[in-house]
Amino acid sequence: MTLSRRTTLKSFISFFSLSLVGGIHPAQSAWPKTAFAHNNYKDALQAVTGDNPLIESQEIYLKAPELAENGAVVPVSVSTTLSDVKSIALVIEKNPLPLAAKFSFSEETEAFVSARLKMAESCDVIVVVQSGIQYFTTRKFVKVTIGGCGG
Amino acid sequence: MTGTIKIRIKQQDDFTLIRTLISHPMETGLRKDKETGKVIPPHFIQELLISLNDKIVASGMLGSAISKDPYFSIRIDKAKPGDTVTIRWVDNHGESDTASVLVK
Repeated sequence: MTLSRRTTLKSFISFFSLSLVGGIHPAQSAWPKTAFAHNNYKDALQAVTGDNPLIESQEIYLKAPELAENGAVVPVSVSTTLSDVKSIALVIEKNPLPLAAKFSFSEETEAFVSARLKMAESCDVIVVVQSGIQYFTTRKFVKVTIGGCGG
Repeated sequence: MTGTIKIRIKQQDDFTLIRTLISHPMETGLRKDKETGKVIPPHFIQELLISLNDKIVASGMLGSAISKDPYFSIRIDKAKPGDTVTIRWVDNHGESDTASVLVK
């Protein structure tokens, strides 16, 4: 997705007008709206990594079912032996809005997260782990027999 | 909102496992009401904060692809008895809930 000057301007204006109206929770404004609005997984990945390269890694362990009977509830867990893990992001390749979540960790937290995701159709679950200033990735194909959109 | 968060703490050999189950519809905004055909507006948790003794140890920025009634688990360095684990969420309507448990 290319951001034209106009749409950038629009999003700025709406952001500032929201801020002016007040009532917006400070914690809520930290939510990266644009990253979650991408409708293409490549854009979503880029929103996570910025312009940094994404390196395939064998040190990320992504646990997800090979076959999910119900796409509305797909249990996924991620752990990694990479060091200095700052965040773990989950991107669902073919979801209408691919970025599912991004978890950030402090030094007291182990590089592990488990969650349940919605998947619209069979596709790859992609994990991006930020280790130091580098981004590592792995993926796993999950076959979905009933989509997660309830439609 | 209150009472939407369940927290379970389990001490393991090398870490403390924190599991949470939150009651929330997690509407994507892409679903249609089958009877009226109208789009059901999005209503989902955007932010999840997990703290140990008031220090945030993990946070999640969430999209609508998290399942209804979300479940999460994380592992933190071994917590001591008497430590407090607090979980807070904020959704796209600005609604929120917070719950705490003591580590035994």
